[in-house]
Amino acid sequence: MAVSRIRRWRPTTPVITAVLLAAMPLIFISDFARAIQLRFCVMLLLLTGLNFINGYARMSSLAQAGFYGLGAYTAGILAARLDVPPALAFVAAPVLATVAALVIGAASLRLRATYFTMATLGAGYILYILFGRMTGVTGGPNGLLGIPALSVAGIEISGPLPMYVLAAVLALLGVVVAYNFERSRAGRALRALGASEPAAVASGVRAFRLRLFAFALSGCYAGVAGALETFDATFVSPSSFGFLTAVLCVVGLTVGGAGRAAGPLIGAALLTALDELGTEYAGYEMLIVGLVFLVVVQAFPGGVAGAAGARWPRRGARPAVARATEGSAS
Amino acid sequence: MTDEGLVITGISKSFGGVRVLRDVSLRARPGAVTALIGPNGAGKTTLANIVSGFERPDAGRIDVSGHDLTRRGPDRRATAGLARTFQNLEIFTGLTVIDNVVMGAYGRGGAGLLSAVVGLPRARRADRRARAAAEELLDRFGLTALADAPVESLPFGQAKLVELARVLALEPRVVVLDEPVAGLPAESVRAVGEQVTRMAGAGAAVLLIEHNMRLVMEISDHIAVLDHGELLMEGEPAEVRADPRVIEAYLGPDADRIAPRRES
Repeated sequence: MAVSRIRRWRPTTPVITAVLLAAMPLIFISDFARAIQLRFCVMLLLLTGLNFINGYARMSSLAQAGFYGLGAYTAGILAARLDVPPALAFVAAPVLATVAALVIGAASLRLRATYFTMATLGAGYILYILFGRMTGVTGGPNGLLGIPALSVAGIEISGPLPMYVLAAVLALLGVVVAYNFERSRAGRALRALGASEPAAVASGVRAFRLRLFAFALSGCYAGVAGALETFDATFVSPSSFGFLTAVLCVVGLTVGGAGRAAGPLIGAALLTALDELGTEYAGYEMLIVGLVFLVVVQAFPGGVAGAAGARWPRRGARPAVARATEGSAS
Repeated sequence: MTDEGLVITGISKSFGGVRVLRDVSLRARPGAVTALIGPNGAGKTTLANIVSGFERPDAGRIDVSGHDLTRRGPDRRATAGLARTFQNLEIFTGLTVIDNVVMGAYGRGGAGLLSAVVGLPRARRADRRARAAAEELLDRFGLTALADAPVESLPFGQAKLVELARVLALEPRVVVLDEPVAGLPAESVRAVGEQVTRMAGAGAAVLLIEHNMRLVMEISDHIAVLDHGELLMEGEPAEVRADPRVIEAYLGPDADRIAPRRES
């Protein structure tokens, strides 16, 4: 009995993320590895953001790629075409993506779940079409060129390692904020709303407002991811922000474990690995995605994080019966 | 000013031309259990939905403690001290038992969105207070040992108790319970009955919708009978039991051997 009461310390998701982000550049040091690591940070931001609405609120948004692109083009256009200081252009990206999420969310979050998904699909696609067709502003299908290096207070952040450090710091910050949110009063309310809307509303939760907040957060994270992408690649093209990316975000989060802190981390790792596989087995990557998705949602409805949580439960998350007997025995 | 509890005045409601409620007026006094009974389809749940704001009435008004809540949404009614449970189990799966109860206090206010995200000490303090209150409630419901268990791992009877504890976390002035013991085993029925009596004892106005007549007769101070959307009669349990109209409309000829009329 006494033994079972000892708290087994388990690393939290922010701790795992911090260790991972710090260790990766030390172990794999080539520029090629650096590019993959930065890709991982971008994916982590995208999925951690998506987890607010698709995970905790249990609504399914397909607009994440659109917000990602909006962030990328905002940063790119401001810095390359309008001569806005790069640091300011970087900050403007999440701001505009958040505003877009607020507008799209205000129009679609009162809809029932399936219709909301359709609306976000439409909104994301409209953004994608705009990126490709507004040639005068975005450069169209040929892409946007001439993006200057990022610099903050006179210090230039360019080259693989400085860009990676920036990406890692922002990704970790994003994970920590999400982790705090999940445990907060508002985070609890959002998860409650996802589980039972009537009971949450009857407890005083303002459903629309809270969902809008979650959706705006998802847009904000995507905006940061987009700005990172732009200043790292110094090139923006519409092809990265289409339907495929939108679906990959949802699949990555679902397979990783939607609604769980570790879900985006696992999902981002899988998507980054897939990216590499894709270059080797070009044309087959969607087949791989489809198969992995099918197997995981069938075998582990809670995703990889859900399955791991059931295998190694947190303190207190042990089966109810075990705890009940323990309580009566003491 | 004395608290008037829940005052339902002249509520009417139709769904696509079908009159579900016709000019229903009813009071649930603070510190008392007011039961609402009636055959299936009498309009009880519709009335519960109108009282809690999930449905809008065609006519009439709802007052809680002297405040007109008719135009407020269900979330705002919770803030005004009105809590409810649902006929079907509505719990927050994915949350622990204690977090389910803590959620019940949401309508009483707390830290704002931003201070929660940043993790300000003020938000943490408010959270600790809510947790302490929830722990007390769990103790009262005998659920302390299950506090950190995922709520979906509980058997139905205990999950129903969690729902009741959640409602109490709001410290409500008015509680609407929609068939709280439907489908529960006998010992759980007793536990729920005790808790409902205790809620009223603490000063809440309880509106109890229930088919289990033994429980209704035992714990109600006042009973209203709804039939075909109209209030047939109301009075003390003994009066209701003896009224021939009630016997005919609802209880059937075996009124002495009243058993739960829930079709199984």
